[in-house]
Amino acid sequence: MLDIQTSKLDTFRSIATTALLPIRYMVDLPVSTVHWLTARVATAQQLVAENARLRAHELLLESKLQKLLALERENASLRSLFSSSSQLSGHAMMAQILAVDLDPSLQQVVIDKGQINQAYNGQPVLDAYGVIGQLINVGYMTSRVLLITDAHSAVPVENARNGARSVAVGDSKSGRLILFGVPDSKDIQMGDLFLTSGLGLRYPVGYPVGKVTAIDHQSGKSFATIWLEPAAHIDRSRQVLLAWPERAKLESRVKDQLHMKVT
Amino acid sequence: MPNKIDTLRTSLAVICSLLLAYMLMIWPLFRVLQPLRPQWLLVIVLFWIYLRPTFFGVFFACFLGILLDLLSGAVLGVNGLLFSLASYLLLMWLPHFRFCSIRRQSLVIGGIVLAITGFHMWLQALSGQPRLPAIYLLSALTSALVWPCFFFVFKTELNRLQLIDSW
Repeated sequence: MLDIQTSKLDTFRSIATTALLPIRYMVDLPVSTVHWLTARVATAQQLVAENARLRAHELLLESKLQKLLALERENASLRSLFSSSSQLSGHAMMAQILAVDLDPSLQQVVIDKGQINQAYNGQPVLDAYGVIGQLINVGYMTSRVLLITDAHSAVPVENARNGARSVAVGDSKSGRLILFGVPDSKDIQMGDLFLTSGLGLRYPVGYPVGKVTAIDHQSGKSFATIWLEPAAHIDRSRQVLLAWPERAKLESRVKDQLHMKVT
Repeated sequence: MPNKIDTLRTSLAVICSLLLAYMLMIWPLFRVLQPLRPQWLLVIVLFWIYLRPTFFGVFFACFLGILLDLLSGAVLGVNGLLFSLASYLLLMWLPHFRFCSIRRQSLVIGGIVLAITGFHMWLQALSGQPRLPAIYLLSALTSALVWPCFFFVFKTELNRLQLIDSW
């Protein structure tokens, strides 16, 4: 009970989990060995083919990056015209998901980065396709990631098509997300992409969260139930990105107001 | 009186089996197979309590359960509570349990695991946590199937202990 409702046990938990680290690594060892072996055993022909494919891919990304740089410059100059603070950027770090099953009622994974890598609680975790989750319970060398499909997770999102805002709450049972509090009349269609809106100041702005796969309009209810399929390859990716987004700084006036409300 | 080497070997067997059980509890499985994962740790703890009820008891089980909580990231203390309950049930029935055939014993073990998993789900519902799907009750079946295996694995251990313990 104490563990559910307060965070008093967090330090004890992170210390004790560090002591149990060898067991986790021992379980991870065979899987990572198999990965390592498959990488070694690949024939030269395969490697050449893969190399060519990656080169082509890199060329494509490189050309996109040129466009992006131009856009970023344009964006910054526009922002300076509006005299608002320019944000974007920040840095990121690769992290490895340990091949370990946690308690089956949790939608969480363990990664191999912790306090020694300056990870912090609430840090966003991404992969190449979208948002994976956020760090909870950062230990010394490993930390747990709360996936966006966990029932305890909620991501502030906006529709990429028309900017309609909502909150995507995880649904542990189906491994999907549900949009929270969307009026029946709102314009949302199948296949709409939802991005992070950055409103919670936790996730960076504009990363894909999920695509609408099912809409359930129930007569007599004022809210529609909308299901999102996560954009990130949550079950498949073994490598993830830890992001240190540059926080948009709140004005001290706004901060004071916020604190007044809390206390 | 058990001699020193025997005690050493027994404690080595206990520690190794527990370590292995912890590893099996967090071993990555396909999602379809996850509900069928036997409660390795609980069954091995019950097994050692059954063999040495004077030595291992409720507190031993509770401690190992809390370690499992830490390892699997569950709410701290849940498995501690469940493990101590299960071991209490076993200790209560031990006088009858010891004279059952192995087939009946694994039935009882399956029953205990079933009750414990059900209790776990009830606790989760009570505390507003996301609840395990009902299919996870199947782990009781696989746990019951695992029980007789321990008798083959620890055959030498059993022989020695039966020589040592007068009962």
